[in-house]
Amino acid sequence: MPFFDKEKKTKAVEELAKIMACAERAGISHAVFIGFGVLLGIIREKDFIGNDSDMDICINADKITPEQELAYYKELKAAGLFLARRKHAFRDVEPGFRRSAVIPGADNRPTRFSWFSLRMRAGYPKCCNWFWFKWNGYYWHSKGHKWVTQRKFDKERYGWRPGDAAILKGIPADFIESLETIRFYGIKVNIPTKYGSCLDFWYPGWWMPKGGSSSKKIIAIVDTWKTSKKWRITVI
Amino acid sequence: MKQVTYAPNTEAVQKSVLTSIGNMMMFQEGNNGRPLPWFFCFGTLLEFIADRTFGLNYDIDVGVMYDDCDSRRLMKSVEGFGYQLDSYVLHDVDRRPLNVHFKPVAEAIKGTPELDVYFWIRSGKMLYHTYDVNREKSSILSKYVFKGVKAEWLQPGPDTIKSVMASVWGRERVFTNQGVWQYDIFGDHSGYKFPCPWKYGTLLDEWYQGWRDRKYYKGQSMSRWVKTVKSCKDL
Repeated sequence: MPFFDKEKKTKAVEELAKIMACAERAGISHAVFIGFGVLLGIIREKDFIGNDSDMDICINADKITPEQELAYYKELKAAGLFLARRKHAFRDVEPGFRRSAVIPGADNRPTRFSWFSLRMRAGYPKCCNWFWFKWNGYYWHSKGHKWVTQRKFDKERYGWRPGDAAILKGIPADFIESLETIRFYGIKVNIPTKYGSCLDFWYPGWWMPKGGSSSKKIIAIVDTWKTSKKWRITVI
Repeated sequence: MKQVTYAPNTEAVQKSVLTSIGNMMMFQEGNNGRPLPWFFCFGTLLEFIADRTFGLNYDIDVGVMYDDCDSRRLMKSVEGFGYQLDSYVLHDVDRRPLNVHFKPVAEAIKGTPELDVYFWIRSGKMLYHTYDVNREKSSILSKYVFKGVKAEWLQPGPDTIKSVMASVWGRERVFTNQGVWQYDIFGDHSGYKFPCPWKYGTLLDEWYQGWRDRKYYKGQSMSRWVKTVKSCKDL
C-alpha cells in the first residue's frame, strides 16, 4: 500500500500549505525550496511519489538571519505544526551539550538550526526541514550529531570518530543556489532551477522508481562547530 | 489523387522505429571490440524524460562518440534500415562525419521520423557536438560552432560504472557496463530499451532550461560552452 495514497496526499497538501504560510510570515519564503523525494515526485510524476514516506523542506540558511530562522520555528509552533512530532538538531551544539531552540547561543544570538522534523497531527506525513549552509564550494545539510552513528554512516567508510560534532551531506553549491517558483497542488513553492542536476546527484537513474534515501557522495565530518579548520571532506 | 499514409504515433509504430534503430546500432562495434555505446539525446531525450514518451513528431537524435565509432560502417548500417543520407558535416581535417542527417527512403511510410546522428568529439574534459548551425549547406564548413558539455555527464568513469553496476541497477540490467541507462520504455518487459546518457537530468538542465514545463524551450539546445573555430583542429 503506497504511503501517499489519496487521503495522505490531501493531508500532505494541507500541511505543506501551512508550512509555506509560516515561511511567508517569517519572511523566509525566498530561501525555502522543495528537495529530495517531493522534488523527485514533482519532476517525474508531477505528484507525490507513492512510496515516499515524508516531505522535505529545504532552507538556504545563508539567505536568512538567525532571527528569521527562529521566527519561522515560532510560527510553525504557533500554527500547531509540532503537535505530533518535534525533533531538532543544531549547528552550534558541541557533543554532549543539550540545547533548546529558544535558548540563545553563547553570544546571546538565537541558535542556528541544522534540522528539525515536524508533524501537525497523527496520520499526517512527517516533514523534515533542512537548513543548508555553504562551505568550501558545497552546500551542506545535516542532522548534526544524530548522524554520527554506525547505523547511519559506516565508520570505516566515512572516517568519523567518536566525539565528532556532526556529519554533513553535501551537494555542489551551484545546484541549489538558484530557485524558481512553481505551483504544486496550487501552493506556491520553490524548486532548484537545476532540478535535473539535483536528481542525478541524489538519485542516479531517477527516471525509474526505486526506493532508498539520497546518495552519500559528498560527506563532511565536523569535529567541532567552533571552527571549520579541521573539517574533513570525503568524496565517494 | 495520390493517397498518402502517415505513420501514426502509436505504440506499435514507436516499437517498430525503436527496433530499427536498436538493430542498426546493435551491430556497431567500438574501437575496443565491444558494442558501441549510443544514446538518445536532445529533443528525443527531453520528450522521454519529461513526458515519458517516445515521440515521432520530430527528428530522432542519437549520440555516439566520435573517437569510438567506425562512422562509415554506421552510415552504411543506417542506410540498410530504410534511411538515406540527406546531409552531413565533416571534420575538415579527418574528413570523418561529426553530424549526419538521414531521411527515410521514398518507400517508407510518410511521417517516419528523420534521424540525426551526433558524433561527440572530445577536447580535454569536454565533449562537443556540432552541426550546420549557420546553414552553409556544405559538408566542410567555413566556421564550425561547437557546443560542449562536461565529458563526465555523457561518459562516466570506470569507477563510477563499476560502482553502479554493482548496485541494483546493474543487476536489473538498467545500467550497462558502457555507462548508459537502458529504460524499459513501455513498462511491459518486452525488451524495448530506451538508452539514456549517464547524467540525463544534468544534460537537460544545460540544454533546455525550464525543461520540466517547457518554459524556456525554444527548440534549439543551449550550452554555456560554445566554441566557434575555422578548423576542427582548433577545438
